[in-house]
Amino acid sequence: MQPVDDESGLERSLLRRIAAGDRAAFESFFRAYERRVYRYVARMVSDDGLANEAASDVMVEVWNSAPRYAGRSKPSTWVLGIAHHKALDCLRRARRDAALLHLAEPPRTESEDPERRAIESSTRAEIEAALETISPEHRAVLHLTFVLGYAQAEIAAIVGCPLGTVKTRVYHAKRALRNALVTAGLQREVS
Amino acid sequence: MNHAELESELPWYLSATLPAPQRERIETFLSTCNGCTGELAELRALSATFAEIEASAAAPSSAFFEDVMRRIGPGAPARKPWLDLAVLRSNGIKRWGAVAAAIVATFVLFAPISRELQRASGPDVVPVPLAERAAPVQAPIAKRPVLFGALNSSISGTAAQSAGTESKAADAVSATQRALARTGAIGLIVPDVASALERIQRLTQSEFGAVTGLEDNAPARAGGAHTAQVTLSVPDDRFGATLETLAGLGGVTSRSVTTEDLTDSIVDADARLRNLRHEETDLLRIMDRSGKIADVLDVEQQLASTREAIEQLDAQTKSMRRRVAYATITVDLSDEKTTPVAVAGPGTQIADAWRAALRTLWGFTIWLVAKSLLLVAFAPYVAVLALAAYLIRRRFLGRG
Repeated sequence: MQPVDDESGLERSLLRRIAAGDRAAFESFFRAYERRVYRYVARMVSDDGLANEAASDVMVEVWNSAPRYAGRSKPSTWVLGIAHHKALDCLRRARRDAALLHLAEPPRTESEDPERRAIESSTRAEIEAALETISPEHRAVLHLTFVLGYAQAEIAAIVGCPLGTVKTRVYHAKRALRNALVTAGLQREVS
Repeated sequence: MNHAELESELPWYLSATLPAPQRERIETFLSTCNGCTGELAELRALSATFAEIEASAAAPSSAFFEDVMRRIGPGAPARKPWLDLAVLRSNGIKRWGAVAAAIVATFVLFAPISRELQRASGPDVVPVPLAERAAPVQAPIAKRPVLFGALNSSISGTAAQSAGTESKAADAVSATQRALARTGAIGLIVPDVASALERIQRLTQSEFGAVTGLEDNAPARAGGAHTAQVTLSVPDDRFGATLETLAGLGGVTSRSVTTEDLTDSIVDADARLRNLRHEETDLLRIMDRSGKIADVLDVEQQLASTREAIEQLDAQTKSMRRRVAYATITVDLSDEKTTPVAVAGPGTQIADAWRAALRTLWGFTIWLVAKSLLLVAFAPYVAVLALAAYLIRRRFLGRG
């Protein structure tokens, strides 16, 4: 028997109705996802203007692509997968610095205790500022893991990478965040 | 499991999305590794901070919806070009798959053109049949079953989703499709139960369902009929079609359909689950802020009971949705013919007659003994009656 994906039956039926051109169904779907999609792309692109543009692109894409929704993944995974790639496209279009799209540097081998303390002792504002300095891909996996609470397989489907890469990417994202917080702390001490 | 492996799994341990065995392994290891406990505390702090950031994060602008509706314009969804990488990737199609499809499409497109060019360049080229040239080039579309026809659930919202949106989602459940768990039963008389069972098996597979129960009663003696009971689980949207197909397998002796409306239960369970998850997040936040060990232990206890409640409710909700997604059909099969009675030989008949005579003799003996005992039991009454008869007879006969 095929596995039953029972978290998303209504969204699936809404998508079928959207595919048939049902605007009321689209509005229901839109209202359910607008904030989630907007916050996700905003976290990735770090710019209100770009976030509005990318979120709008995502919703238009949902409308246009609903007939092609294959049902292989949950609707939420499908929508956030579109959001992920639209956000990356938006960043590319904005001709941001190419380094912005690169993953962070490899993990350092020195003791991690000062870094760990960096996160635990950092304020919300400091963490928010540090998030802005790491790559969009790292911000994306941190958001999917810690804010939206997705499982490894769902994150892999959204960002389009193997399961092992998800673990590695979250690991490096945490390290990058720690490094950013340590660097910010050192700069504060110097100044 | 070592420290590095555990560290890579901790984020999902924290979000409770790991399978139970993995979670238990991590819990065992956590109790022995101080470094991991520190790592977990750090992740909890990070998670709580993210929750705070998200709670106060900017919402999309009020013009967002109007902007999107203006962009999509009137009418049905515009069929965009099939090869949209963003959508392909989100549909789980790998990049190499798209490349391979592009190469195949190129070959398919260029083969007729190439043949046309060859035909134009030389007089001795075999002409291409018209039908072949006119065949449309179409991208293969994978046939995928619609497994979740009437599967309903509420739209899961984010923590900060407005109450209005939630009520809309709940309304959507009632206004569009009810969450109905359907059960059907059908009784059939078939020419051959064994072949009917095979056909039901094939039918179930073709409808993307499963046989969940089978009781096959072959006749134990001559003259009995072969019967069987099969229980099927099929996607709800295939319920009606499956029942109709089953009815075609033989003569229908009975048919019934019952429906249970689970809409309210599912919506209610979803709301309770959301509240419990918010409560869990709040408790995690409180735990991170608590200084005293007694406070931490108290919050941990509350957290454990909240998580237990979440798991129970989650399991209940999943079970209800499974019942909505998959309808159950019970099929009772009876063979229209009985097992033929075998004709016994003369020896067997004589032996049977002898055994029957012995059985009768034994039965008569038992009956005789039983009646004798009855007489013995009633002997005092018989004796009194006999004496009375004797005395009366002697008196009257003596006088006469």
